[in-house]
Amino acid sequence: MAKDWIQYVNKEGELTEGKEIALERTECLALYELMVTCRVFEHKATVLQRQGFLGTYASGLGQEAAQVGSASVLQKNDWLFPYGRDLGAAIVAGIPIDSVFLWLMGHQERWLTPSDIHVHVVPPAVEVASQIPHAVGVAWSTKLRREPQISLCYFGDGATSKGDFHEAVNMAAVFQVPVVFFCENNQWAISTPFARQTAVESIADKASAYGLPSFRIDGNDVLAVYQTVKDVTEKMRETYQPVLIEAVTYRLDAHTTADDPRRYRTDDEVDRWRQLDPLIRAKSYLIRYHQWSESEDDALINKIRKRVDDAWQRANDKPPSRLASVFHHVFYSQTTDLKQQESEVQQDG
Amino acid sequence: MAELTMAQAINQALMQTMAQDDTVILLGEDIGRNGGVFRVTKDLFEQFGEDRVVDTPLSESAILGSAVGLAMNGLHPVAEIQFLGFICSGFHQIITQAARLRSRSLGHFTVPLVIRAPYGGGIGAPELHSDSLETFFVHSPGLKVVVPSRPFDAKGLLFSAIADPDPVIFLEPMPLYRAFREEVPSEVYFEPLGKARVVHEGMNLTVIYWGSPGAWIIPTVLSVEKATGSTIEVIDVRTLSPLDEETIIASVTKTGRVLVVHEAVRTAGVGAEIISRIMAEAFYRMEAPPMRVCGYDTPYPVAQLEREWLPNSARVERTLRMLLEY
Repeated sequence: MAKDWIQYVNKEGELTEGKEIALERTECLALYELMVTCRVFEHKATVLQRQGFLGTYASGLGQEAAQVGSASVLQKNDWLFPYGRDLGAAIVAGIPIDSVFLWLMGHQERWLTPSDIHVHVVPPAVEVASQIPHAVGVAWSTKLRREPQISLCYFGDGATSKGDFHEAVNMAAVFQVPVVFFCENNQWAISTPFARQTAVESIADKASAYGLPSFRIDGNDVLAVYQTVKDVTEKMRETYQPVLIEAVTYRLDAHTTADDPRRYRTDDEVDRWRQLDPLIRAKSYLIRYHQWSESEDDALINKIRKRVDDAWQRANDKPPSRLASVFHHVFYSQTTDLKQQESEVQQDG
Repeated sequence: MAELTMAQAINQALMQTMAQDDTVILLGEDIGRNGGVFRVTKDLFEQFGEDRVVDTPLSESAILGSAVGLAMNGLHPVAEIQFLGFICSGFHQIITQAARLRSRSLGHFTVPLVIRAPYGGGIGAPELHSDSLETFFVHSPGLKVVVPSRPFDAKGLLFSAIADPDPVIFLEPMPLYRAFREEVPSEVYFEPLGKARVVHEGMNLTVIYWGSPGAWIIPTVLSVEKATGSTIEVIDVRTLSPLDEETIIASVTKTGRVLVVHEAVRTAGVGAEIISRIMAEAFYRMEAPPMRVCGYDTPYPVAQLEREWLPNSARVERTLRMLLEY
């Protein structure tokens, strides 16, 4: 009983029958530019990892429409809970690209959040599903204060097999707190296929067990993602009702730079999904309906490459981390033990 | 000043904190209408309503994880885990999340959260209701761990725990909830975290404990003092993390002998940490090897065996005499 499928633009870049898009050319271009930013960032990060500058890196390649379409909807003081593959979404929500590079470099100043950031972006969850109850707690606090902010919580298909997903979704439904549970179903959890995570056809079907509304959307169609999340959150700001969204997408790259996906999936499968690449689709749509040209596209890509290269340069120019810094930010005030250990390090250094 | 049990003192601290500060909210299983299985949150639901005294689904990980979220956005949640043994169902939310968020966000996000849990043995409870798991939390940087052993401390330490900007594990020894009453000031007062208390002064031996042994340790020590003519200093650690090394070292430097008493199993218990610090700082002052009286290194036993299994007056008295004669 898989849910109906929401799609606005098909893989050829044509409007799906019966759908209308309210976005102007500039708004569509803004979404596309963000997707290109994520894509260029992914490529740059992968290259830098191969060159030994970054640690093991989990690429979000292929998930740009799901991330950009959803994160773009967030408004001032909303909350974003990314998982490890959502670095693109974090960039969309205002984490500087150099800060994300620092995170991947294992630099002590990783994920330094600008004080004037528009959206609260929590550092990416590493323990799968651990962020989902946090999103519920934050949403609960905004509801208690009668504030209109919502929490957008990302996770993958693997996370839906974990207790934290079930406990958190259940609690959000019981208390009716404003969270968008946004599953990027990218079909793979390292080597484990979707069919090994669950016996249901669709993650969206799980919502009925908790009494939540849910939507199943084409996660490679940025306009479907954007429009669905926009509609859902507009309503949620008044009703506080949580919602589960399944964005069906695909992890085009390996699990991480340390993984070899040829051990567990076929090139044919990957090629089939490459035909559904969200960037190709968005570009085709722009060409078809908004007179976008190849030369404009090249210029955009070059502009963004420069931006990402500059961000890398700033990150790489940072002085290396110092061991003494680990003793800060453990507690609000340093304990006697930590003071003593820091001074040991200072003396040794 | 009224004479209160520890359960009443904790209840009063919650009542007064919540009246003063509307960012404090309680969440847990059966804490609202039922007032908690030990009635520690009695009357709070009626006083503050269902938005601030929240009966949650039976869901430890969601209780702890959503409390992290509440705290991240400026509230001061006090989460109750019904028995400490059940905390394992949400353990990761404390160890991998609450404890680390300040550090991994470089102080941008913080977790001013108190997690209260009844703990310890001796009340004939079913399996997993009596375990002393404090070491897990002490071993996790970013957490503070507090264990009161008398009503006065319970109230003053709980105010400090709720006011603390970091996550605090607040362990309430079940056998002490109603074991005795003492005078507790009716006003708000703060007992500092990270400070041990010398509860009895002496010159020849130092006994260090926390939690339930507080109910019987002084009479045991007095009887050994009387029988041997020695004097024994007794320290209630009160906060296991951060540890008040200064008070401990000062006492052992003076006495040269030490016994650590805890209910948790012996191996890698907090007693080992305390003794290691003593050996590093007071090595040349020691007159006898440091000793421990603890739970044995077994799963917590059935109710019929728990009194023999737990540290008790007879085991402590034997060890005190051995140390004094050494």
